[in-house]
Amino acid sequence: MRFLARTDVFFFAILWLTVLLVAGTLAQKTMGLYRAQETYFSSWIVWAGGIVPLPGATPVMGLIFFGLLAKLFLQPWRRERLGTIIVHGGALFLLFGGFLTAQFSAEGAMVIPEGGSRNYIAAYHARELAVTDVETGAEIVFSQRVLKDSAPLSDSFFPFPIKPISYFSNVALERREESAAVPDDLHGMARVFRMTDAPREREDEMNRAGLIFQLDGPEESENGRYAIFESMPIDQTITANGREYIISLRKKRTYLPFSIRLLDFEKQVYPGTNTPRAYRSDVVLAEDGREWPARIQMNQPLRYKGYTFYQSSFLQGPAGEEVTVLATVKNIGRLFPYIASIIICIGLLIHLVQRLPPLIGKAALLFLLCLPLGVPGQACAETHDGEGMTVLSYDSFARIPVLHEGRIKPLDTFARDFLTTFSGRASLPDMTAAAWMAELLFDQKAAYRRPVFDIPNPDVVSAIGLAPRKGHHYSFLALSQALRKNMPMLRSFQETPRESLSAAQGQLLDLYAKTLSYFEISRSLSLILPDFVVGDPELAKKLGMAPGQALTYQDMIAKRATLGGLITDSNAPGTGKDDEVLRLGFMLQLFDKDRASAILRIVPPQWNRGGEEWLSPWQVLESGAGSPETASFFETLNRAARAYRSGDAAAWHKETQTAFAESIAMAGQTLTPLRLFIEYHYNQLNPFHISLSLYGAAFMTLLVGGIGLRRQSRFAALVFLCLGALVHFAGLAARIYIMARPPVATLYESVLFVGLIGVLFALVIEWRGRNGLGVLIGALIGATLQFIGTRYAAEGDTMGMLVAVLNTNFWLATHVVTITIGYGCCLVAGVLAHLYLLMRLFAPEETDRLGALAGNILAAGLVALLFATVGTILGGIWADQSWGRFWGWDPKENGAMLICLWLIFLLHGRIAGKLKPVPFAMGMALTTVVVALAWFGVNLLGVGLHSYGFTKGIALNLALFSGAEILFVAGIGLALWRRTAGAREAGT
Amino acid sequence: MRPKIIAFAVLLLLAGAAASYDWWHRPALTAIQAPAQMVSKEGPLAADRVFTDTKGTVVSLKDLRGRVVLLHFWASWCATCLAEFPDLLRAVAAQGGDVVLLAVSIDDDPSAMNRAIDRLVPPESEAPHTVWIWDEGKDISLRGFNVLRTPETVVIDGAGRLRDKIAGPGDWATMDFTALSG
Repeated sequence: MRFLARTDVFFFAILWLTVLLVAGTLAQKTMGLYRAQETYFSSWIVWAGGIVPLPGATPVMGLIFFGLLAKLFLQPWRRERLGTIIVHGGALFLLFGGFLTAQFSAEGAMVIPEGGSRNYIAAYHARELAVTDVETGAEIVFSQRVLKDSAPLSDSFFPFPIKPISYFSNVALERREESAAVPDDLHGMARVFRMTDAPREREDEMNRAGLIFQLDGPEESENGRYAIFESMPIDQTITANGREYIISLRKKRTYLPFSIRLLDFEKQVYPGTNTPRAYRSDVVLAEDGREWPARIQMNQPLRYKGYTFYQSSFLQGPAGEEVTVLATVKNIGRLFPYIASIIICIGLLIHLVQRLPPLIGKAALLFLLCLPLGVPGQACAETHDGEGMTVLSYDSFARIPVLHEGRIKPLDTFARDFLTTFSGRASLPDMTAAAWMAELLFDQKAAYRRPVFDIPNPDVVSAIGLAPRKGHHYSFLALSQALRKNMPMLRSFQETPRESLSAAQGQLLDLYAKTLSYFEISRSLSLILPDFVVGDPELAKKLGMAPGQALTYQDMIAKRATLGGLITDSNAPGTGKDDEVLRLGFMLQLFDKDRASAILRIVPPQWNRGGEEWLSPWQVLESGAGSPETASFFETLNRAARAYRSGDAAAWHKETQTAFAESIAMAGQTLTPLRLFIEYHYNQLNPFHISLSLYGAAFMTLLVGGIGLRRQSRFAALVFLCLGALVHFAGLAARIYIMARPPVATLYESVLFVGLIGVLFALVIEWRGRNGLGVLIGALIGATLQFIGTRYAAEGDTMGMLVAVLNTNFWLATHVVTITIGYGCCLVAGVLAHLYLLMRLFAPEETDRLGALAGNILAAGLVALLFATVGTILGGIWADQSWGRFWGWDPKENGAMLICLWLIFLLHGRIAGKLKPVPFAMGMALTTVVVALAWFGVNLLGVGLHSYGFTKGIALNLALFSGAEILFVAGIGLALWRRTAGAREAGT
Repeated sequence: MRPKIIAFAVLLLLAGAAASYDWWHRPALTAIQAPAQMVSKEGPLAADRVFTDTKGTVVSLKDLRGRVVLLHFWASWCATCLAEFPDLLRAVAAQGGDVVLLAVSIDDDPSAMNRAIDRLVPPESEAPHTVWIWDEGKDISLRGFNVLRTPETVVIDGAGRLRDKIAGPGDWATMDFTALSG
C-alpha cells in the first residue's frame, strides 16, 4: 500500500499514460479507431514493435486508481488540503465509473425502417452465427469465437452439425466464372462466389464477415460446403427432417424485453442548403400490449429500462424508405462521470480559492467590468434623403437581407463571401464587395470585364490557354471564353474520381464551378433589367414601344406573341433590318434560361405560408409565390437598376432605401433588422483587424520603451491592450448576437475566443504584478492568435450554420467555452514559462522577480488545469448525451485529455518536488505545443467524429511551430544545464 | 479517521443516489405533437383594383366586399387550366353568390381566349358569378401579382384581404369557402 501511494509511482504512471495516449491517437490514422482503441486503450499489454510487452492503459489506470486510493487513506487530512482531497475523490469516482462501463456496458445499434419494428440491438463489432427455425422463429446462436475453431457446432435444436472451415473478418467476394466447373459438394452462395480474405477496413463497422462451413446432416443432398456472409441478399436455408432452417452470419444481437416501432423519421435541413439541422425519430415503444409514443432526437435520447436510445444517423433503404439508426447503450456506470465532474469542479475551485484568493477575486472583478461594455448600441437607420449626392452610396443596398447557407444575412455579407470565393479577398482594389455585387447584378457588361477571378496557379492559367496577367486576376469574359474552348478536357476531369486528379486539374474544376455560380448570380435580377432596346422606329411601333425605350423581360413577355409573329414573317438572318427582330427573339430565349437562377434568395416567404424558404426572383415566378408585394419589390429593383445604369446617385439612394424597407416589411417577424444592422457594421468595421493592430501597437510600444523600464511606455501599451481587448470583445459580442449562439463553434471562432481569454488573463497578471509582464504576454497572445484568425477568415464565410450535433447552445456554451478557456490559460502559462526561461538565462540575479514569475506559472497552470479538466469531462457528458458514450478515444477527445494529463504531470511533479523549477518551466513552455497539437493537430489525422475543424495547409505551420518551440526549450535547457554543471565544477 | 469515514460515506451515498436515480428514472417519454398547423394569419388588404370584363363591364374589388373573390389566372393553351375549369365553375355556382370568380386570361390573343370560353360555357348555358377578363399587356398577372405560370389563384376573403395563393390546380370540389366569407 505504501508503495502504491508513492508519488513517483503516480508520476511515472501519468507519464506512461500520456505516451500511450499519443501513440494510440497517432495509430488511429493507420489502424482505425476501433483497433487502435483495442490495442492501446482497453488492453492489458501493448506489444511494442510486436515483441516487447509493455503495460497497456488498463493496468496503468488501475495503478493510478489504487495509488490515489492508498494516498487518500494514508496521508493525514488537513483543512488546507480540502480542495485536493475532493479533486482526487472525484478522479477516483471517474476511474471507477470507467471501469464499470468497460466491464458491464452493452452497446449497439437499432436499425428500424419506417413502419418497421425491432426488439433487438445489433452489436457494432461482435458477430454471431444463428440457426433459425423458420416455422417457430426460435433460434440458437454461436459466438464469433467458436467460429474460428474447427470444432463442429451441434445442438439438439437442429439435426445437422456445422463444422466451420474458415472464418473471414472481412471477406472479398469474387464471382465464379460461368464456364468454370464448380465442385459438386458446394452449395448455395458458395457456387456463385469464391471467398478470400480482404484487408481489414479502417472503420471496423465497414468490415463484412464471411464463413465457409461443412454440413453433415440427415439429408444426403444437403451435405457439403456452404459459404455465408453478412447481409446476404438471399437467406441460406437448410431442410432437415421436414423442417426448414435459416443459417445466417450477422452482427451479434441482444434481445430487449420490449420493441420499438418507427412511425416517422424526419431530417431537417437549413433552408436553402443540404446542411442537416436536426434528425428526429417518432417511435412507439411497445411492451406487453401497452404502447407509448416517444420522440428521439439529436441531444435528446429516450431512456427505458436501463437502455438509452440515441438518434445516431439514418440510412436510405433499398426501396427509398427512410431508415433510422438508433445507437443503444445500457450502462450502469452512466451517471458516474456526471457526479465526478461536479466533485472535481468543486474540488478544483476550493483548491484555487485556497491558494490564490487575490487572483480569483480580481479576475472575477475584471470579467464583471467587461460585461456591460459589450452591450450593443441602439440601432438607428440613416435617413438622409440623398439629395445632391454624386457618388453611389451602397449603404441601403448592402443591408438588403438575403437567405444564404441557411442564414439570413445582409447582402453585404453575401457579396463578401462570394467575392472571397472568386478573388480570394473580401474587396477589390477599387471597390467594396457591395459595389461589386451591385455591378454584377445591374451592369453585367462592366462586371464581366472586371478582373475578379484569382488564379494563383500558373499551371491552371496555361492549361486553358489564358494569357498570364500580373497579379493573376482574370475577368469572367476572358476566363469563360478560355474554359469554353476546353470543355472536352473539363468533362473528362469531371468523370474522373477527384482523388486521382492532380492539384491543378482539381483547381481547374473548382474554377469552372466558380464561373458557373458567378454567372448564375449575375443573372439573378435579369427579370427586371432594362435590357431590351429597339432602335428601329418601325419595329418599335409594331411592338408597341418607343424607339430607344429600354424594356425588361417582364415587359417583353407581353409582347412575345407579336414578336413571334414578326419572327415567322422575317427574312433570313444576315439580310439586314430583320436582324433586330431575330436578336430580340434570341435574347428572350437566353433570358428564359435564367429561370434556374436560384442563388440570390432575396425574396422573403410570401402568402403566410409559414415556411423559412426565401426565394430568388426567378423562383418566385416559377413557384407561383408572386404577390403584389413581390411585384412592387421588383418594380423598385427595376428603378434601382435604371438609376444605377444612368449613374443617378440620388435616385439610386432612394430606390435602394425603398427596396430595403420593402424587403424588411415582407420578411416581417422572420427577421430581426437589428441583426442585419449589426452584421453590416461588423463587416464594415472589421473589429478583429482593429484589435490586431491595437495588440501590435501595444507590443511595439513595449519594445520601444523596454520592458518595465519606463512607466509611460508601459502605461501606453496597457491602454492599447485594453482598447484591443475591448474591440475584440465587442466583435465577439456582435458575433454572438448575429449568430445567436456561443462564439466557439468553429475553429476560427475558437481562435478568436482563446485570444480574448489569453489577453484577459494576461491583464489579470498585469493587475497583480504591475510590471509590464502581463501587457507583454497579452500583446503577444492577442496579436498571434488574431493573426492566425485573419488567415482563417480569408477562407470565406466565417458564419456558417452548424451541423445537427453541434446545433445546441447549451453544450457549446458549457463544454466548448470551458475547454477553450483552458486553451487560453495554457497559452498564458506557456508564454510565462518562456519568459521565465529567458530571464533565468540572461538575468539569473533577479531572484525576486524569478520567484514571482514561477508563482505565476504555477497559478496559471492550475487555472488551466481547472478549465481543461472540467471542459473535457463536460465534453464527455455531451458525447454521452448525443452519441451514447462518455468516452470514445476519438482524436479530439484524446487531445483534450492529453492537455489534462500533461498539466497533471507537470503540476504534481512540481508540487511534489520531483520537478525543479527549470524543468518545470521547460515543461510548461512546451504546453503551447501540446495545446497546438490538441487544438489543430488532431484534425490532421482526419479520423473521428469531431470533423468540424478539418482544414488544409496547417500541417507545415504546425510542424514548424512545434519544431521551433522544442528547439528553443531544449536550447535554453542545455545552456542552463551547462552553466550549472560549470558552477558545480568551479565549486568543487 | 472520522473525516475519512464521513467522506467515504458521502461518496457511497452519492453512488447509491446515482444508481437509484437511474433505476427509478421513468422513461423520458415526450408525447408526439401534431405537426404545427399552418398559421394563416390575415393577409394585407388587397389594393382596390378595377377590372374590365370581356363585354366591357367594369368590376371593382371594392364592390365585391362581403363575397369571397377567386382571382384566377388561366390561359387558353394551358391544358391543366382547361382540365380543372369545370370543377371550378361548379364549385363557384354551388356557393350561390357567396363566391365570385374573376377568371383572368393571360392569353396574347383574345380570340383564342374567347374560343376557349365558348367551349367551357356553351352559349345555351351560363356560368353564374363568373367574370371573364382578358389581361392585355400582362398588367394584372405579371405586374400586379407576379404571375408567370398558370393556373394560379389568389384568394381574397369577404373583408377584402389577400388570404392565400394557390399555385397550380386547386382542389375545387372539396374546397371549404365558409371560413373565408367573414
